[in-house]
Amino acid sequence: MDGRPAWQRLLAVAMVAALSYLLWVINRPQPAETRPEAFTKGYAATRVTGTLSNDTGEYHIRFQARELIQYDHKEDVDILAPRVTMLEQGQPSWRFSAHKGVFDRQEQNIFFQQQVETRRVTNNPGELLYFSSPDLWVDASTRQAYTKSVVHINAQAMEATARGAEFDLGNNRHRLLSEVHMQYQDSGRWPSP
Amino acid sequence: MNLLFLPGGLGIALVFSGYVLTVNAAPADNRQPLYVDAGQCVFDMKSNQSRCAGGMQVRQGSLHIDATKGTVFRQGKRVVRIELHGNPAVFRYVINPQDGLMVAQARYMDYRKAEDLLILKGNVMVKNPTLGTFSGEKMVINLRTEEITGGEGDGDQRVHMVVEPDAENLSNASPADEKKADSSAQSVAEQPESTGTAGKSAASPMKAKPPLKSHPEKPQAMESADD
Repeated sequence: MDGRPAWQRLLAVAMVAALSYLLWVINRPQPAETRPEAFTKGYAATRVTGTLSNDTGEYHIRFQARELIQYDHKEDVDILAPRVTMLEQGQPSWRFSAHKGVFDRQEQNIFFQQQVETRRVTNNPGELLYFSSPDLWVDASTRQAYTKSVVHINAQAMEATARGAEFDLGNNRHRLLSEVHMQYQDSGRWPSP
Repeated sequence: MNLLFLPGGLGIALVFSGYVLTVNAAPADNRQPLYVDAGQCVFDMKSNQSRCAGGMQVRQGSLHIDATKGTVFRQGKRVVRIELHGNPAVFRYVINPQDGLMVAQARYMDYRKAEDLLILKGNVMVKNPTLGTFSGEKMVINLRTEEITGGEGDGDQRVHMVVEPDAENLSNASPADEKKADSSAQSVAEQPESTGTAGKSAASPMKAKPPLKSHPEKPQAMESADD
């Protein structure tokens, strides 16, 4: 033995253990959702709810998210499990949900990703609309939405699929860009002669 | 003019106007889902219309329409009307299995589904194994009352008809029948409203045009068409 007191030996062992743990934490594999090291978190929040509106108050967005992360060098805000309701005076609202999304605070755009579901909320059954897609870009200021991916649409007694779509949410008028397949559940009865 | 008094099985070309032709009709295809395939569509929820382009196909039971573009109109849940354009648009439909496939083609079609009317405009041709071939600038097919109406009696609105020859009837037809048919055709052609179009049509009978369909022709039974 080197004649040092036992407490010093224990301290040395503890320091080595602590250093090893620290090195392991730093070098361990990062989870998929973690940003590269160059991204520095500005702030993060969990179980977020909030409301955004434009300068004139013509519309506003109500949102919920499981987690909201903002990085210092970006204007974008990453959102996990977003639930967004777009409201406009005198207009039916639109509800969006997805596994994740990115919110551009400057432009008030939201890019939803993974299992995006959109629903028009109205008491008029003729104007009910639901559509789903792998991704969806939404411009809250113009109430336009867009996807290049395959989109599935359900409306009253009608289903459709298409590859790519532009949604005019304000006018409930939508452009299906290619490979359109529509099915009408035509409940009409063949008239008697 | 009622076509049923014309002997079937004779290759004749007629020109006349303002006729009404009756066929057997009425399948239950209208209750089946209606499918629309297209290149692009604009789907307007407020007006309940879908305007499509880039090639458009409509299917419902035996109904099959090919067009370049068109618009589907709905009232509530029901499709009430489909407007189609093509070069030409082609409308295939089994009105009655006994009558076989009806093929209609025109540059413009207004399928008023709620009224069971098919309005055809522009280079119209309608072909049916039982009825023969019709052509003109405008025709209306009433799928409810089983009537084909066409021709307003002036100029390009005349309707041309060819009754396809039927091998069996042709072989059984007596010389007297043929003579009677010839005289009938001649009397129609000599009607006052029949102008030079008649001779032109007779010189180029409709059956000489490219075939509209590839399915086998059914034996004709013109006598039953007026039932």
